[in-house]
Amino acid sequence: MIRSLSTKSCSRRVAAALSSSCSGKRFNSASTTPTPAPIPAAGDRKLPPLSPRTRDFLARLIRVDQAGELGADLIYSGQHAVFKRTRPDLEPLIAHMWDQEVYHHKTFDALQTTHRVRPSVFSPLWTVAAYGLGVGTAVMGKEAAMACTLAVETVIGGHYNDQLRELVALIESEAAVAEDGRASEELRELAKMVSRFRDDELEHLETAVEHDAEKARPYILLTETIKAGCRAAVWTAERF
Amino acid sequence: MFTSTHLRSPVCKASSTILNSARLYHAVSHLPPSPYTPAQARILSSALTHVPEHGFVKDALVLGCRDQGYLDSTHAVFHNGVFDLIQYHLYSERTKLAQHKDKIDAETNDLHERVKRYCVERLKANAPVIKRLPEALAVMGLPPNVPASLEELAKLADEIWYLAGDKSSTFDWYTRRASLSAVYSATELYMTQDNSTDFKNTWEFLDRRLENVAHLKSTLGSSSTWIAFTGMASINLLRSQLARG
Repeated sequence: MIRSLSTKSCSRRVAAALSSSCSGKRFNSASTTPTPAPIPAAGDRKLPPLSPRTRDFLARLIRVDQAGELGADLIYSGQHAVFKRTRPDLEPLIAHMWDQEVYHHKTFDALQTTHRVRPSVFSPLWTVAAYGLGVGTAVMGKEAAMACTLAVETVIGGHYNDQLRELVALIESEAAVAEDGRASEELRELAKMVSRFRDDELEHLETAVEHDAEKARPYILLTETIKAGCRAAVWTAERF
Repeated sequence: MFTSTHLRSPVCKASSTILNSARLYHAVSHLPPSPYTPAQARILSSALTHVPEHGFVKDALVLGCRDQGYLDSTHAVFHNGVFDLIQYHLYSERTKLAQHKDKIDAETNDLHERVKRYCVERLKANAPVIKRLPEALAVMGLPPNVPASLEELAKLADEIWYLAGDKSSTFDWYTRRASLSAVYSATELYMTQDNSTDFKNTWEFLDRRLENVAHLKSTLGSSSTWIAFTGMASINLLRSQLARG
């Protein structure tokens, strides 16, 4: 499962498109506050307007990712609420993943306000459903909670990868027509962020496998149901 | 010879759904796309200068074309006629709001106070054409124009919250914009009937409407706190009952 999501396929193009500045630096989120969305200094060159199609794509990207990170934040918050009582040994692990998700969530909130993207209409529903999923699976036990993480992160990681592919293509086409051959800082920062968050999500996926996610019973039923739910939520949040 | 393609753009058309066309990504390092070609913008702004005298009518459009050295018949490139002129008024006044940002940011830090200030600025921009505004509102209310008019209202509410520095990122986003749209349109309607000096009554009306919204919001806020509290209390009660056996 991890292998099927391997980042290799697009990592080389990402690296080329994003140039050097962030390569190799491991991202430490636990104690940092979100970087504000990239806003170029006044007097920076302004590129020609983005096409409506591109603006639509970026708006959907930010809306669905914000909703996704809201969900992830609340799933871990639900699991944390249960595990801190029932399994104190797992608490630090969940807290670490939760911290990362909180950071992702805040970052996308900042992007949403900067870029004036409408948040998902169903955010109250995502809030309740995600917290419920977190609490529910944690009550079922460690394996079920890890299987939930595995299912969610599989869908989210794959979805980030799809977005990254489109973003990289967008950056390449923008760079091809730019006077100085460079795409806008704004898009490159966004792609860097998406690829960094994708890596974090896949790290959570590995953690879940290491912690016996596959021993959950009924494994297939649990993971496939959650995956289907996530895909439905992604479809909805992109549009509404 | 001037009525050729450079005046036509894909824009002067009734717009699509409110949710999607109004909420595209706002780029910070790219120029904002302009819905009007430079020639259209010149004609429409000239036409607006004739509105106080002639009203939102075709004559104003014709005079605008004439001022810019185009043939009188050029007004035909604006397929929606007078409604295009009205939309241009709404569009240009909305985009001009950003000019007040530095002043308003310096004067107050309070989000709601800022929202009020932007509303006042926007309404003041109606003052020169206030006697003609009922005509415009009537045209905006014609069934084919309603979607575009509502979309423009939604864009105005979004612009005001954005400029004021709103950071809402959940369902709040919608309630804030919806309530501001309601307040703004009610106040605008009131303003058309206001005969007080310098629209004193309108500003008081606006204050009262915004207070109502704030009051409603705090009621909603306390009800959700109450629901959360009662929920937790019931769970705790259940747990203590279970523990007692």
